[in-house]
Amino acid sequence: MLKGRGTTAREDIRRIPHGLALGGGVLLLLAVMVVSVSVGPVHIALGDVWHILTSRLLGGEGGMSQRDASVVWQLRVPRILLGAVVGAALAISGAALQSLFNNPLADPGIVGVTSGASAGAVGAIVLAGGLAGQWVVPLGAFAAGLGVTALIYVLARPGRTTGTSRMLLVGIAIGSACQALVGFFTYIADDTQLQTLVFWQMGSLGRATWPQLVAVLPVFVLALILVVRLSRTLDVLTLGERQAQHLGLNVKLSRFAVILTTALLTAAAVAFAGSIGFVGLVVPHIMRFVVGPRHRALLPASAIMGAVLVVAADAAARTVNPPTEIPIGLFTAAVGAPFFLFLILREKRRVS
Amino acid sequence: MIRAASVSYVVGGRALVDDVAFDLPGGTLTALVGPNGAGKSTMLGLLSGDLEASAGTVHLGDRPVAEWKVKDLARQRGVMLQQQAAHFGFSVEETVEMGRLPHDVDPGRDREIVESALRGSDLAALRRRDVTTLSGGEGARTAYARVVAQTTPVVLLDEPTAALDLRAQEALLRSARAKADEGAAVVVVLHDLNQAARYADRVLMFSGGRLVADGPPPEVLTPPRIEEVYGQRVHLMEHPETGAPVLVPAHG
Repeated sequence: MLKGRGTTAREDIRRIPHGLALGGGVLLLLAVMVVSVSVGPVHIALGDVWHILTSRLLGGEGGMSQRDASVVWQLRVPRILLGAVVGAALAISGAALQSLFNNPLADPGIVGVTSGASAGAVGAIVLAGGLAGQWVVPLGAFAAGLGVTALIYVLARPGRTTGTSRMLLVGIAIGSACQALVGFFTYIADDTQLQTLVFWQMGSLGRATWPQLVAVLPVFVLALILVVRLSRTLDVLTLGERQAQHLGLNVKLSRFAVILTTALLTAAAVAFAGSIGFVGLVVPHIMRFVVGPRHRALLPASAIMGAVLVVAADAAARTVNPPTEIPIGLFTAAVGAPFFLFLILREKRRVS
Repeated sequence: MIRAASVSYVVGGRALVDDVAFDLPGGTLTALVGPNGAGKSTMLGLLSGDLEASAGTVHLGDRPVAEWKVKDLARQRGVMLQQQAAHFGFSVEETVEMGRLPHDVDPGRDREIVESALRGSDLAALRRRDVTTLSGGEGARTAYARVVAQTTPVVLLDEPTAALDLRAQEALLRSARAKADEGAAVVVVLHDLNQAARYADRVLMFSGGRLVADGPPPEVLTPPRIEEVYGQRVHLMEHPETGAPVLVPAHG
């Protein structure tokens, strides 16, 4: 509280101009994606990756081995693109929800999507048993994720200027109920189901296919456009709900729009990749340090960084112990937790 | 400009504001005073449209406050609350700029208004500061500057001076006074009765949710009434320079 007046100049905000940050981020993302195509149980030289991609996209014969071409085009490219979409979706949702709840510790799980989707996916794995194609689990997860968010919204019935915090509490209660459901399904699952289930819960892009990517893309693009249009709204919401209302913001409508878009983004991400922790929590924090809290810069920057993080974690998941894949959630948590701790401790030092 | 007609606000059977009526024209600064829990902030919440009256109506401009669209209302009245939330590192300048939100964008004019609001709250040197690192007083000045930048004909301030140092308190009240002199209806919740006496045209004194006195400061702020409402004896002294009445708490 007691602060000398002489310290003011040093406390001025320093940010990287966001054009520069976004440009740099896009280059970084492209680099990580290209490297990620090349690494894995089968190593494919960067030059060959280039040939395969250009021959696929532009036609013509690459002259590469059929096996390499199919590894690149059928396995790695879709999973890397899906990884980028998932990472971007989680990071954007995290950034938007942190502002809506006025709480830097919010993450996409806060409105129940993740726990709902978990219950849906695990239920689908156990109940649908053998007939589960590549769509049953994602659909179960997507529907349950949105359903649980809707349930929380209806139960909390947030009002004109208050109620977001009540959503938080209702979310915790419903989240626990979902956990109980997950526990129950885990308990009755057989060994094979158990394996699928555990893998899903720790997150994996291992089953990504082109059709899945095509299915998730429209949801992602639509929600992305909506949430970016909410940039100014989110800026004002950080002042608090009453203050936002005083400035002419329809808080009820804005809150609904933010929850709807983030629930769509998160449910789509979780449906195909399982629950990947820490991306939605940590990435917005990092990007606030880099480009500042204005959402016009923060949302795109978070999207890029979230994509970088998930694509990189997925590359690591494939490479560390080939041919076995390690669940991607282990990497994001292993990197995310210490980094987050560092941020919190640093913050504390700065404040005190 | 602002009219309260038999307004009550009841929560759980208890009337926080009980059958209050007043009419505040533009061009006046009105102080709401009274002990803690008297209903001042609730009254301000009713005037701002945050709370819905259980009985009676609050008129703002030409219609009841509940009938305004949120955005139109934001062009009509600015509100400064006691508590400022600041969890994200916006700069002081960015925060003040948010006051322009209800208005159509006009970069030149917006710039000018924000600059003048920053200068008016002595924030020019702090404009690049992260709002999460501000002291309580600096945060309050930022919130006030945001309300000024909103340029509304009705200005509602809830204990704006509570966190401010002496000089900043005087500066803020002079600024609020100037807004009233330009034609705004300014309503300020104040605890310092001397500030109310010096800056307000009119004092509304609340006690237990009821409006117990309404009039010019010298008529409302009399030692017997203050003792009755606050349970604290006071002396009326003379200001050494101006001779204006000054209230001083009695000893014991």
